[in-house]
Amino acid sequence: MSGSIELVVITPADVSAFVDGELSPEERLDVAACVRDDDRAACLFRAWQWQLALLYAAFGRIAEEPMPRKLRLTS
Amino acid sequence: MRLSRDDAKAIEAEIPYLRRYARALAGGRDAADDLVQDGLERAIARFDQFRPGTNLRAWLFTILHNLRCDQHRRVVRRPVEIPIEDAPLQASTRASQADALHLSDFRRAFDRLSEPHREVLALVGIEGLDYQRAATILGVEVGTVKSRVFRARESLRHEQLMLERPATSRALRVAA
Repeated sequence: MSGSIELVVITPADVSAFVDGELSPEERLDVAACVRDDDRAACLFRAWQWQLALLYAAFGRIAEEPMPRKLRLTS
Repeated sequence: MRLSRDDAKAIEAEIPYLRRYARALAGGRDAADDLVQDGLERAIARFDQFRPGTNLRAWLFTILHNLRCDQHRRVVRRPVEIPIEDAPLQASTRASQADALHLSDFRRAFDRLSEPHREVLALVGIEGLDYQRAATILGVEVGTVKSRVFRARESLRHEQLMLERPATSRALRVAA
């Protein structure tokens, strides 16, 4: 129907799922618009993206550490 | 259960990721590697339960998760304090000193989270698993993963703010 306005309720948990790429294409568009227009959503989005970067910076390279001998299964 | 050499190699290829996941769960390197070692023993003993063609890493993560649950049932554990020297130093060579300090603050903030929160952030944020796979490993609904990740992020943000200090006073402290 032309001229009608559909209200979409976006929660902080939706923004969190958006950060993880867990939404459908339609939901992504809704949350992206919310992040664009709403300061609080934008603030959460940026804070959580920064967290992800720090998380990977703090833990990512652990997988590259040399493996202790006691964990080896093959010689 | 005796492992074929190929199976042993396949499991061994996952050990770096198990160690990383365990570090987020158990904290210090030694405790984490002990957990991995226990997990490997269980995985080998029960390898006949692994269905070929399914995701081996997720199966191994599930074993570590279940082992941790068993440990928690046996003893009420106190929050794990991470020794400072165990904080990763990998960013210190290229990033600035301020960034390195930021990272160790972040590490402290992360360690103050509850284990379910550290765990879900490790699976989704570090290991890059989708919510469905994380839900299977944790034995919960997908919706639970979504809300748990959200709450973990909020707790982490809270802890980060608690630890944040003006950069100038920090620089002065370093210089002193």
